[in-house]
Amino acid sequence: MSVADLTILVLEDEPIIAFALEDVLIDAGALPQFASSLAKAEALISRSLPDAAILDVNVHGEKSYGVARILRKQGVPFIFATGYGASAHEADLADIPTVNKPYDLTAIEHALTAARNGT
Amino acid sequence: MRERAELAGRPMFEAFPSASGSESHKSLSRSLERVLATGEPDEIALIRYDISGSGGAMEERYWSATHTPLTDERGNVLYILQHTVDVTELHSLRRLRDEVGVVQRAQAVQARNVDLAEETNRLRTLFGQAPGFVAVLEGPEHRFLMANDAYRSLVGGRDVVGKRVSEALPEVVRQGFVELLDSVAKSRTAYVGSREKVQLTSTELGENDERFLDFVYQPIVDDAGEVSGIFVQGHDVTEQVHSEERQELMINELNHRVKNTLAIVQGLAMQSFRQVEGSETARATFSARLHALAAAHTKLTSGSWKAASLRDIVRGSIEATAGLDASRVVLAGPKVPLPPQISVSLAMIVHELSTNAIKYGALSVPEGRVDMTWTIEPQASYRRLNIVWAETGGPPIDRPERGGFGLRLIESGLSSHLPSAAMVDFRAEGLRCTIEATLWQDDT
Repeated sequence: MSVADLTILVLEDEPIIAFALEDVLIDAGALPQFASSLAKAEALISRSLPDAAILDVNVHGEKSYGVARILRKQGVPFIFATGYGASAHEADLADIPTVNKPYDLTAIEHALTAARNGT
Repeated sequence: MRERAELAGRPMFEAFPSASGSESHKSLSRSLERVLATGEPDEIALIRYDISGSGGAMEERYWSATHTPLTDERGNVLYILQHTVDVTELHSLRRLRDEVGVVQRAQAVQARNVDLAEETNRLRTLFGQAPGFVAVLEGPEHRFLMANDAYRSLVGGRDVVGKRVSEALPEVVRQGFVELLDSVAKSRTAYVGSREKVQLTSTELGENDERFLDFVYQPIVDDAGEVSGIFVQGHDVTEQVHSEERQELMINELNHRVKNTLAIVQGLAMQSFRQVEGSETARATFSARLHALAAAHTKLTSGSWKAASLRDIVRGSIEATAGLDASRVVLAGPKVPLPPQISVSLAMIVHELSTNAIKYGALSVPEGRVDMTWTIEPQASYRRLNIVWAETGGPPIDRPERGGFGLRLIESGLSSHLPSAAMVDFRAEGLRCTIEATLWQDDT
């Protein structure tokens, strides 16, 4: 799934990773929206739904599964980005496509395609 | 015949003396001691015990005796009732075959009883002190016949002997252990449990205690071929399981940190070189190398930093680099476990080879392919690993005048501290790279 012209919510608490991802997404024609905390992500979602989302799993020591469940309820395709690998997700989110850090645009687009087909 | 007054109030061996250390004395005193120790009746099938006759002289006499304890409400032995039958006549009528038979049989039984009692005691002590937990269950209801010290301590000191499993350990019923016992009895097949989780409820605190057990349920088959019970034996491996879980958690955390750091390094590089004119290719190369490193790291973590499979490492690196073209690299070779450092080196080398093949070599044209084969030769104290990467169907390439980082990395081999050599041959039919390495037995 090409990210061009899509608004993409990126939940990431590490600024340097966020900047790099922002550049990659902008270069690919996407409109990234950044949230550096769970609360900020929820606020963004309640204001307007993004077309897709990339969620860091561990945000300031907390899991982003709450945000994930809100997105799933709203039918927004999303993927996880993590350094932990896919095995650690909670049962109801076990099938969510996951990209391993460090990731690139190809990996993100593949995962988003899988996420869209899954929802 | 003796008067009551002659006997009452006198110690046994004073009223009926026998030489201390004689078989008669030992046999009788042991029987009385057994009653005192166990609180159970004891029998002597045959004992020679001489008594003084009417004239005062000792007469040879044979007896059969039963000693029965008389206890108070608390079970303390107060008295021992001795019931004796004088079998001297039977014993003396040796000439009559039948009776001789009876006496000899009785003697044999008595001798056997002594042996058996000793053997049983020995086994009971062995069983009781065995380091693992042991229990014997009897019948279709799985009633505890015996349970050793380790078993009792496992179940929180509860008294289980004589009770059904479902009654003694009610919490295990819903965990499926009684069903498991039923199926062992029914199928007559032993069940081996490895690291099985069981919740035991401590009676004193009513708290759940989670234990991990390695155990065996072994059906006990009687002479008639029926399952009469189940032998339970095993070890508590909870500490071992917990320490492995802690280690896995730490490795997972370490991996997360490393991956996050690699992602930050990637971010830094992208930010730093973004404004540099014409740096796009360099950034892509850097990013790809970082990914190859991260992919090797992931493989190692999934194997808890123990040996990783050569095939998995190679496959992971090629897929991360070549994407869909990865299927054009055909792998063939035996299963080889690789130590962590060699795994990372190999992943990086394969990444450089794949990148080169995509840019200039066999994977740069649709008809090209790569065959990657490896062999392992066992030697006395080490194994020799040979890897060949052979490209065909691509355009011919010349060796660059000055080797770049990729070529230098490849030719540095798999290890800087183990004997290893790598050679890149730019042949007309395609690039051919051979890598040799020594794997010590300890490495895997």
